Amino acid sequence: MILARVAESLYWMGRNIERSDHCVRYLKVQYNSTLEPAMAQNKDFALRSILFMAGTDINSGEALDEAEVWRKVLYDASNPNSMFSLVWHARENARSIRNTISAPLWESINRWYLFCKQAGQLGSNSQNIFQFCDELTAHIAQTRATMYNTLLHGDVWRLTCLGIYVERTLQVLRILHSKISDSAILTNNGDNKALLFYQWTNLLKSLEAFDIHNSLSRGLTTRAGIFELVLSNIHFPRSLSHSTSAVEKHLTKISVRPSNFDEMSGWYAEKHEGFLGFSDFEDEEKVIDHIEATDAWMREVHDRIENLYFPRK
Amino acid sequence: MLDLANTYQAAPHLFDEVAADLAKDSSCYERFFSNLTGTDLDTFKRLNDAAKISFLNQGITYALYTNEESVEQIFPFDLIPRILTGDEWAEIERGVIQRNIALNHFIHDVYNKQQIIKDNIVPEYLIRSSSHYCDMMENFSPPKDIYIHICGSDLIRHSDGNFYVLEDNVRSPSGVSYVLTNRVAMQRVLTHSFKETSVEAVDNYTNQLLQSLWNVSGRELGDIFCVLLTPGSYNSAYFEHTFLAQKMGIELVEGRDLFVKDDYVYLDTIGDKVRVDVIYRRIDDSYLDPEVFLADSQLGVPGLMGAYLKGNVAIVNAPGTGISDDKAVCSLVPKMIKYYLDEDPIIPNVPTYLCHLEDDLKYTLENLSKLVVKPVDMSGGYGVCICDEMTKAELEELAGKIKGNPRNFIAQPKMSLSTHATYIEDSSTFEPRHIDLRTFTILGGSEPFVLKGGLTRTALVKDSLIVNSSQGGGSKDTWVIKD
Repeated sequence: MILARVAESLYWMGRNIERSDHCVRYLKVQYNSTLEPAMAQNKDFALRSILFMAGTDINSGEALDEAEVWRKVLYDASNPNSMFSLVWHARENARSIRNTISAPLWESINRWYLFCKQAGQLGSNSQNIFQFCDELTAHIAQTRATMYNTLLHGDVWRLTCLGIYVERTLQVLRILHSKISDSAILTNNGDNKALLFYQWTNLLKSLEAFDIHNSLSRGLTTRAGIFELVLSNIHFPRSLSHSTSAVEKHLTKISVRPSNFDEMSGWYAEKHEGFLGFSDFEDEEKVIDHIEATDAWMREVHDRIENLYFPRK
Repeated sequence: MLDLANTYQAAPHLFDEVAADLAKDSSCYERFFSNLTGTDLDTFKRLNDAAKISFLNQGITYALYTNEESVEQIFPFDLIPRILTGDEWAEIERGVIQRNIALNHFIHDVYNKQQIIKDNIVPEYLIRSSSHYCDMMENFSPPKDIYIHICGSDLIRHSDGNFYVLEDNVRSPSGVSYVLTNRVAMQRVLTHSFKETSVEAVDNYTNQLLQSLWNVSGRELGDIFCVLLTPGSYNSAYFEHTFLAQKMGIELVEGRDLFVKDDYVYLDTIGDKVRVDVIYRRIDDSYLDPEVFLADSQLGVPGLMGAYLKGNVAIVNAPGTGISDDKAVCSLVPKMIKYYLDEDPIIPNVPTYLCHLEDDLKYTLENLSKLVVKPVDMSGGYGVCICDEMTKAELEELAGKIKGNPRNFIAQPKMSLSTHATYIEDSSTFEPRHIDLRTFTILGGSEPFVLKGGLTRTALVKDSLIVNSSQGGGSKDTWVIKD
């Protein structure tokens, strides 16, 4: 028996944990990139990319203050997309269902939040951003491990995983969007080959796929190869196909079946089959269309999950 | 090395729990302090910090409301326990059980035959004018005639060495979770002391509470579905709500998780609806059901009172019990004990002047600067006026308020709460601080049950008499020594 409110909190707890993980990895890679010679003279470009990924609005013509960008995306409690806000949301989700999740999981999320809060109070400087991101990653990893090891792998677990994999799909799509958009800007700006290459490397690093890609491609980096890995390599845990398959697995294994469950699962299976059939990795136009269609599909999946398990009253 | 048995300086002219015990031939505190003998101050500080961090990481907090926001705080916890002998405790236990039984009789009587009013022991005016009086409870008896399933009674020890009851909390007494978590923290940090001293357990409380919930459900064990109804995660006692629900293995719900259909209460789940039999509510009466109480309440459940009055769900504590939380009514408990049980009170009340009585009002106004004045319907230390700390202008303003609405105030002599050795972080010293004791009594199980020890609350500011957590007070583990 799971309350509708609890189901919603579990789902969103999963989503917020996953979103934090992607954001911190992306920030870490982008931060590193600002230190590399290839990007050092294009710091503004990297900072704008960070703001885009963090969903933080900024006027395109506005001059950027690096310290202010980091404050905004890391610690700003008034920015709903800052790292602090994401952790705060994950903790609020967990707090509202403290007696449903395990005590170690609650404690792990609470520690993570307290770390973030304290770091926010201390403020940032260029020396401690990397350390902060590293420690955040460790907290997230611990939270994931505690979740895996201390929750019964029943409906509570499945609902949390549903949130995790819906969010993973959306975040990978967001990173792809971000890098395709960056590469379009750079291509239009003339001879930026080094920078262009750097964006695709960053994409792989943001998904912790750089080494995997190297070993699969034997050092030959092509956009098509990157797209194939990120979109459809089922064995790569951060690929879209892995994530969308995991959504299907968890959805169909939740034991509670509301009346319109069959319709939802049938619809998902049909769409998923279509998604898995994509193979035009050489054609960038088609890849972009495919990414956009997948994004729209996954947003509809979210709406349908909401209507199925925790409809708005 | 710490040598508190010889170095602790109690405050003169006050009853100090530690000093009074150390003066005995067989001292509990001497045994406890001797277990600390191998500990130096730095180690003690480290233990103190470890306990605090553990509370923070576990989220054992309460929300402190300021003008701007609600801030999560840990409930300051002192590692020096308050120790009561088995004999001292036995008297307290008998005393609070006696009070609770009398109070339960009183509430049943008030909402049914009203014999105590007819016999002129308690004036009808006092009952009818109580903001907690609930018309809907008239001529209704809850399962097993139990109204006060859980009661928190606040006791103080005066300079004469005797315990007095300051007030009873019979709506939603809070604090028990801190008793249980304090004990766990103490056992982790001062393990050796527990090996050397036989302390009564406190972890049986949640089992006793669950038994009480089951007993008033009216259904067969195995079919009973109990929930704890919380106002939500922004409530100051939210940690306690989650803690108790988890320990009892019952569902923690908010009003929006419940709905009423055909006078039965159900859970809004992602699957089939589930019928609810017992609601341990931690929200006030006025928010319980927007159809009959506050219409704009977002915390309650529409139709809940209808289901309750039809006997289809039990509500713990029963609606309307707040009449005896009224401080003016509370002062009459000794009379209730005599009336219903034909016994003398085992623990006396703090003497109380009822400002709605002409003589008491006159006395209060003439002696205002020596008294403590309290609004009858507030809790948590809010509205308490310690008059000898007030300016002349403030006293005049208070006198005006009392004269304007005498029913709303009681006055009491300033009782000198006992003091106890307390570790003061700022100065790294052990100093006397005022304390009280909140006991937790459960009715509705096979026998009345009192949690052995209760919550010792301590003022952290020197000379302050305000021990409430909402006003910056802390807590201590309370040890009852097994004989």
